[in-house]
Parts: sequence; C-alpha cells; structure tokens
Amino acid sequence: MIRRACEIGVDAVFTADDFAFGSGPLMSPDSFRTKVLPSLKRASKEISVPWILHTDGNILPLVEDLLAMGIKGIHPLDPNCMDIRAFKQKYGRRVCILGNVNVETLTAGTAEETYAETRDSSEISPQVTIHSSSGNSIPEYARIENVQALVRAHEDFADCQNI
Amino acid sequence: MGDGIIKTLDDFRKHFHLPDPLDECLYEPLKAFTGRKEEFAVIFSTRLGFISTVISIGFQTYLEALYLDPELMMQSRGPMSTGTAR
Repeated sequence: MIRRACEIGVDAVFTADDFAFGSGPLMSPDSFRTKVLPSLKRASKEISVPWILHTDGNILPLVEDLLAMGIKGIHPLDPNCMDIRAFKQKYGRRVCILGNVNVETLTAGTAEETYAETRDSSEISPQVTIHSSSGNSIPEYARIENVQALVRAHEDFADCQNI
Repeated sequence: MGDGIIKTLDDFRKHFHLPDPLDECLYEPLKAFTGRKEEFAVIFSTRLGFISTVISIGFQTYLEALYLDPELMMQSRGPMSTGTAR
C-alpha cells in the first residue's frame, strides 16, 4: 500500500511502530538489528517520499539504526523519557524532530501551559528543524483548547521551512 | 498491549487477512486528498509490520518466539511488512 500511496502523490509517509518502553528498547539493540531491522529495511524501500517514523519510548540505543534507514522525521520524543535538547544537539541536523509536548499537559494542563511548553520546545537552533507536536498520540480526552494552543504556538514560533 | 490471538502458525493462517494492495478501490479515499494538495499536505499513515505483529501475537509470545519459534516470527511478520509496503 505504501508503494501505491507514494505513486498517487502523498507528500509524506508516517509509520507508527513502537520499539521502546520509557525505560528503553523492547529488546536488546542486537536483537533489534538482527531480528527486526531487516524486515523494516525491506519494507522501507517502497517509501519514495519523506518518511516520518513514530515510536514511543526511549529510543536512544536504536537511533543510529533508525536514521540509517533513511527516515527524515522522528516522532514523538516523549518528554517523560527523551531529552529533546540533548537529542537536538546530537541528531538535529540529521533528522526533523516532531513532538515533545507532554500529553499530560494536553490532557490535564491549561491552554496557557500548553502554549508555553510548545513555545519552549519550538526553540530553533540554526539548521535544526523541529515541529512541535504531541509527545505521544493525542488521546480523545485531551482538552481541545489545549490542542488549539499547541497549534497556535507552533504557528507562532516554529520554523516550518526546512522539512 | 494485549495477549493477542495468534500463538501458532495455524492461528496465523486462520486469522491473517490483508486487503489486496493492488486493489485500486483501496486508494479512492486517498485520492480525494491528493487531489487537493494545494490546500494541505497529505500524509499517509500506516505501520511497517513490527507492532502489528506484536499486538497480534502478544508481547510475551513475541519475545519468546524471537528465539524459540523463529518460523512463527518470520511467517507472521513477513506478510505484515510486505503487505503494507507493496
């Protein structure tokens, strides 16, 4: 389906496969490389437009393997387990970063708190592209005014030129 | 993650069904969006087979099968990945 979707003219492909818990990968990096990565690589060859990969959790031990597959964007960098500033510094010039606004803020915070958190995560370093988004999938119980505040802050602060 | 319903190759053969990726009817809803690309970006969202397999098999069975039942692993994850991709 990905091959045909690309032929039809989608602008990007977003794949969601969770590879990690908050504490780290679901399996050892060696097992991931030998038992999971080969099938992902084969499937990813059909992606001919920019590829955004979503995976929950602390993926630091797997990042180099994921980048080597050719992903252009990575989501959601949950702030509960990923340090976006450190991630930006190390990988920000190699991949577009999406996410990092805490889902707990979206569901239990205020619109002002959401706006401020989105603004803070949107701080741009030179040549680094970050698209503020939810730090995990937005649940149905998220406050709509908070989601609107996220979008508003993103439009106010984020650099959308370099994806 | 739930326990999943696929525990054996027989389970897999019984329960695994994907639509034919060559069936053009699948893409009609997508074309409604790609036909309006001047208005918005169109992002195609799917899975690449890994978490689909974990959910179908169950997390514990998945991790055990990585080492104890590699045939179940390959037989189940392969079609999920290739069926999504092609």
